[in-house]
Amino acid sequence: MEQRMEDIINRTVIANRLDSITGEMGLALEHSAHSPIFAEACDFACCICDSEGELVSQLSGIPILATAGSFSVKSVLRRYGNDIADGDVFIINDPYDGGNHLPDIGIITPVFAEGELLFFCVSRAHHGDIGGSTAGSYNPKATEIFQEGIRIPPTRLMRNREMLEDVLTLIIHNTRNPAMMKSDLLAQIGSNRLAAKRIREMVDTYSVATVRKAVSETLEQTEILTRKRIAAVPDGVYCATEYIDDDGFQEEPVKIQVAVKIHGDRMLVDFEGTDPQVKGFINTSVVTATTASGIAALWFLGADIPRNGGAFRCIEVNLPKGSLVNPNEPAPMTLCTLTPASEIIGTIFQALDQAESGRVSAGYCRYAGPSYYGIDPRTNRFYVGFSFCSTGSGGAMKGMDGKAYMSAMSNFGGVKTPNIESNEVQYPHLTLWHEMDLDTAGPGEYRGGAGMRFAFEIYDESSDIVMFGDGMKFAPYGLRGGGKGSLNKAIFVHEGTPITMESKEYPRHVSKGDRVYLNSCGGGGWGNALDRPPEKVYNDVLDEIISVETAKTIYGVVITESGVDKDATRKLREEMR
Amino acid sequence: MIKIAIDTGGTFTDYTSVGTMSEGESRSIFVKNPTDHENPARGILAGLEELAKAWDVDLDTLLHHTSQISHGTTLALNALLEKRGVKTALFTTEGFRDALEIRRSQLKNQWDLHIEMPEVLVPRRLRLGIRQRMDYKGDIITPLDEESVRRACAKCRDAQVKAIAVCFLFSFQNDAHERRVQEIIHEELPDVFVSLSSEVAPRIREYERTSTTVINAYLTPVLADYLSVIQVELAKHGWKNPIHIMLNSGGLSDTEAVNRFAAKTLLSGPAGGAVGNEALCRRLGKSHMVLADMGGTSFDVHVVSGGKNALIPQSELAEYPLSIPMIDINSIGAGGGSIARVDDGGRLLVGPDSAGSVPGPACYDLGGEEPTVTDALLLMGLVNENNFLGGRMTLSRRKAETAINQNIAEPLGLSVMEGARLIYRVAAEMMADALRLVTMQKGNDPRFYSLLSAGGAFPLFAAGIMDTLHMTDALIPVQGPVFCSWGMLGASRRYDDTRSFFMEKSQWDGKALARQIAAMKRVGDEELARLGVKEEDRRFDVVLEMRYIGQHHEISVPWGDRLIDDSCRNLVEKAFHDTHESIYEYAERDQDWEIINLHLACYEAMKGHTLFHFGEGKRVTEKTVAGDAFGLPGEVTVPVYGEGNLTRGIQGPALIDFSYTTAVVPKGFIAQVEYEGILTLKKDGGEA
Repeated sequence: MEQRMEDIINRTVIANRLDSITGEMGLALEHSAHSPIFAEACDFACCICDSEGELVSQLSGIPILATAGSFSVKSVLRRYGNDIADGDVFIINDPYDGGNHLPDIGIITPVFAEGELLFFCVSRAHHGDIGGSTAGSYNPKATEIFQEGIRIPPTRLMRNREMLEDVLTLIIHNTRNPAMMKSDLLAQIGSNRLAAKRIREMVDTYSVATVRKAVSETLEQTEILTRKRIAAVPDGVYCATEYIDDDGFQEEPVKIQVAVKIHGDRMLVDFEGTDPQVKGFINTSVVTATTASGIAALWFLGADIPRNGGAFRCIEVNLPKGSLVNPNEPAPMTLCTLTPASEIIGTIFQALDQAESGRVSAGYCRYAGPSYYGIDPRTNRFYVGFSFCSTGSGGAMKGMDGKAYMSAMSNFGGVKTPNIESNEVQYPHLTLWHEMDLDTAGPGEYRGGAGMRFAFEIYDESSDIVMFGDGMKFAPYGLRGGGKGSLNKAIFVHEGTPITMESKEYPRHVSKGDRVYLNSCGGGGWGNALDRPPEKVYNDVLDEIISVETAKTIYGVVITESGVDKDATRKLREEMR
Repeated sequence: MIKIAIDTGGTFTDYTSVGTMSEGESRSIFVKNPTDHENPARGILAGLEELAKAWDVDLDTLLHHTSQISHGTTLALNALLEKRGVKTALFTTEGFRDALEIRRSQLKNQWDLHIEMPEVLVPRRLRLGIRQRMDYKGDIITPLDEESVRRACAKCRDAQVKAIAVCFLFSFQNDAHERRVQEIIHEELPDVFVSLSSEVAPRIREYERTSTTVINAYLTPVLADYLSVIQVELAKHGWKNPIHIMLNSGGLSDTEAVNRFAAKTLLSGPAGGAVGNEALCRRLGKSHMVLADMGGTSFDVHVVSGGKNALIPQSELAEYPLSIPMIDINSIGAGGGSIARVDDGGRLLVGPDSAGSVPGPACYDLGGEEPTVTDALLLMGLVNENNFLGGRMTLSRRKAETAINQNIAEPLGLSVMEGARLIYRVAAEMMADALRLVTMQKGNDPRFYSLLSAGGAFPLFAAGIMDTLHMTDALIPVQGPVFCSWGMLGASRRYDDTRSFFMEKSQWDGKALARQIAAMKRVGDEELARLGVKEEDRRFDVVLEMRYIGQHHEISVPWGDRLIDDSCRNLVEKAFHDTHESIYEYAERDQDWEIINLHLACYEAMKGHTLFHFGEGKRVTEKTVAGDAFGLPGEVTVPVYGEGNLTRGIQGPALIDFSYTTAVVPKGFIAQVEYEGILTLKKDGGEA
C-alpha cells in the first residue's frame, strides 16, 4: 500500500516536472530567438524523449510538430548508436531521415545522469531561410528536395560542450542570412541546455531508477487510457476523401483517401487509394503524415489524453510507398506541414465523424499567403518573412461557432500571429487593412469563423514575393448539413495592374508601391443553417459578419429596421425546408 | 497616530492596524471579516467597526486617531473575472477593429477542440473604425477624420456606452490623434469615461495595448464609483483625507490617480504581500526570500532576490494580456479549496478547479460533494473541525470522508485515510514544484531562499516543502493570515512611467537618453509631490528594456538611479549582455543591441514596517494526527502549543496554534523565535 502511494506520487510529480521543463524551454526560445517566424510566431516545438527516443513530455505548441522530435532522436540513435556522449549536441532536418520538412531544424541534446544516457532534450524550430533556390524556405516550383534548401542528416554539432565550428559554418554558409541562423541555433542550444540543467536537478532529488520507473509507468498508463477510448468507439471501417487544389504543375486536384479501421482497442489509419506522389512540393514526409494521423485521432479520442509516446503508439498508420504520403526520394515536400497535413487531418475528421458525431469540427481554413524577401531600404539589411496575418478561420462544432482567425488545422492554436505593428517595424510594408470579412463564414446551426481581409503595400524596390498555399479551389468542408466556408483569394496589384494569383507560384518581382490583397477562408459550418436561432443571426448582422441578404437567402431570417420579423422568418424557413 | 490597511479578498477582508491611540505603547491589531459582495463599501464600514471594537473605541474615535488608510481591493479583478464592467466601446484605426477578438490566434490548449475563448469585452458592433493612420515612426499618413469620430460618438450615444477605449496603430510613437479624439469625445459625450492607449500602455504591439486599454475603460467607472462611496461613508465618521490605494506595482497612490487607471489595481491585494515580503526580507537582513500564500482557491508565489522587488512589464490575467508593469506573482490552482480527482488514466490531480468558498470543500457541508485539500487536512487531524477560521465555522467529518472515499480512495484502491494523505502529499509536491520553478526562473537556487509562509493553510505545509527544496528556513509571521494587508501598512507612495524610446548601439547618444530620463523624472517628481512625498524621500529607478537587433522580445535591464551620459555605452552594453546570459544561458557579446523602452519607477523611500507581537500564553494540549506532515509513519500523538509558549525552542513533532492558523513542526525540526513575532522553523542541528 505504502509503495503504491509512493509510486502514484512519483509519477505525478515527475510527469509534472518534465512538463514544466518543456514549458520553460519554449519560453526561453520564444524570447531569445531572432527569426520572426519563431520569435513572434512561435513556430517551434520542444520536447523531452527517453533514451530510446520515445516521446515523454512536450510543450503545448504546434500540433503537427508533436512527434517530429521523437523521430529525430530515433534517427540520431540509428546513426550514432553508442557513439553518443555527455556534452554532444546533434543537428538534423532531413525529412527523409527523421525530419518533418526542411525549414524545421532539430537540435538534440542528450542528457546523462549517473553515467547513463537518460533523456534527450529536443527543440525543433522553423528557420527563416535554409538556402535552396528561393529565399524564405518555401519554393512552390521545386521538383526535387535539393531545390528546397540544405539537407542535414543527423550530424554532431557539438562535442564536449564545444561547438564544431566547421560543421556550423558549413551549414549556415548555405543560407541567405547566416548570422540570423547562427543566433537562432544558439537560442535552441541554450534552451536545451536549460532543460538539461533542470533534468539533472530533478535526478539529484530522486534517482535515475525512480525517474525511469515513473516515466515508463506514465507512458504505460497513457497507452491504457488511449486503448480504452479506442475500444469505446464502435468497430468499423470509416472512409473519407479530400482534395488538394493542385501541386503547382498539374491542373487536376490531388486526392487523399483515408479508411480509419477500428477493431477492439486498435485503430489503423489506412491511406490506400491516396494519389501517387506528385511533381510539386505538396508531398508529405512520413513524419508529417504519421503525426497528422496521430493528432487527428487523439483530438477525436479526448483532450485529456497526455500527448506522449504512450498515446501515439496506439495509432497505427499505413502509408503506401510511392504515394503522396510516403514519396520516394528526391520528391519535394516543404509545404507538407500545412498542406496536405491539414487536409489529412480534415479527411480523418470526416471519417471519424461517422463513428460518433459532435467530437470533431467542420473544416478549418487552408493556408495561402506569400513569403517575401529583399533589402529593407530603411536599414539596408536583408529580410525574409511570411504572411502569417493572412491566416483564415476555424470550423464550427456541435454547440460552438467556429473561432475567428485560426491557423490551418495542423497548427491549431500553436502559431501566434504577429502584431501589425511588429510586422511594420520588421518589414518595409504598410498594412492597409486586417479584419474579419463579410459573408465568408460557412453557414450552419453553428457557423464557421469569418475569414479575414488583409492587404499591404510594399515600399521596397528590391523585393520578391512568392505565393504558396492551397484552398483557392477547395473550401473548408461543412459537417452534418453545415455549409462550406469561403475560398482563399489573392490579388497582386503590380504597377497599378491587378493580377489574380494562384496558390503555388514562381517568385514575382515587386515594384515600389505594389500591393497584395488577400481574402482568407472562413471556417466550415455545422448543422442546418435554418436551425440557427434568429437572434443569433440578427447579432451576426449587427456585427457585420453576415449581410441582411445572407440572413434571408441562407438562414431564412427576415431582418427589418426594428430587428427580426418573426412571422416572416417562420414562413420563409418553412418554405426553404 | 494609527495606520490602517484594508485588504478585500474574495472570501475575507483583512484589517490591520498599528500605532498608538493617544499616549502609551504602540499596539498592532488585526481582524478578519467576511467580504460583503453585495455592497463592498458597507462591508468595509462593518469591518472597520470591528477593528474599532478591538481598539476598545468607536469608529469615529479610531478614525480621529488615524493618519493613513491604505486599501487593496480585488474589486477590479473580480469585475473582470465576473464580466461586471461597464458597457464599453473601442475606437481603432479604420480597417483594424478585430485585434481584440482575433487574439493573435493563440489558444491555451491546442489539444482541446472544444476549448472556449474568453469573452470579448467589446462586441464587434461597438468596435468602431476611425479614419486616420500613422506609420511605424509616428509620422501621419492619413490625417484624423474628425467626422468619423463624431459618427462613432453618435453610435455610442445610441448604444448608451459608458466608457470608450481609444487605441490607434503606433500611437505610442505619436499620441496626437488619440488626444484629439479624447477632446472630441468630451465634447460629444461629456459623461463617458475615455481611456487612451498612449496613456495606459504606450508600448509597441497593438493587441496587447488594446487589451490593456479596453480593460482599463471597462473597469475604471466601476472602481471610481466604489471609491467615491467609501469616501462618502468614511466622511460620515469624520475621515476627510484621501485613502491610499494599493497598485499592481506594490506602491500606493491616491484615488485621483486610480480614478483614471483601474487597470493599475488588478493585483492590488497580492501586491501588498509582495511589499511585505520585500520589507521583511530587508528587515531581517536577508537577500533572498520567497513568499508562499495559500488561500482558498490559489497558491501565490512571490520572490525577492537581492533584497528587492522586480516588476514585469507584461503579463496576463484571466487570459487577457496586460501591457502594464506589475509585481511578478505566480499563481497555481492549489488552494485549500482545490478539488482533487482521479482522471481516466489513473492519475491523481489536485486543482486547478476549486470549490471556492461556496459551496466550498465537502466538509463545509454547503453542498460541495468533491474532495478538496481542506477535506484531506481535516481527516488527517491538521484542521480543527470545531475551531475553523477562528471558530466561525463547524466542519463535517462525515462529508469529507464520503467525498474522498468515492472520488479518490475507491478508484485507486486505497483506504480513506490513505486517500487523504495522498491528496496532502500531491498538493505539497505541486506547491514545492511551483516554488522551485519560480526561484529557478529567477536564476537562483531555492537553497539560498527563506520560505515566508502566509495564508491560513500554508503553515501546515511549510516545513515539509522547505525541506524538500533544501531551503534555509521557513518563517511563519504572526500576521501571516493577514499578510497582504500588513504589507500595505508600510507600503510607500509610487508612480511608474513607461515610454517608447528607440536607440541602437551604433546610434548611441547618451545625452538624448539622459534628456528623456530627466523629462520622465520631472513628471514623476511632480506626481510624488502631489502625493505629498517630501523631496528628500523621493527615489528613482531606471530600467532599460533592451534586445539584440533582430530579436523580438526585450529584457529588463536594471540601471538604478545612476547618471547616464555619453561615456556609459560600455556599461549599458555589459549590463545588457550579463542580464541576457543570466536569463537565457547565452549572450552574443559581439552582436549589436538596441534600447526599446524606458521605465522609470518613482517612489517614496520605505519607512519600514512595524513587526507584530505574539499573543498571550496557552495551555499545552495533545492531538492525534496522521504522521505524513511530521515525517512519521502511521498515526502520531503530538503536543499542541499556543503562541504564548514560544519563548523557548520547540522540538518537533508538534503543532502550534495561532489565531486563524496552525503550524506543523515535523520530527527533526525545531521551532523558535529568532525575530519578533516570527516563528522560525529549521532542521534540528542546523545553524541556530
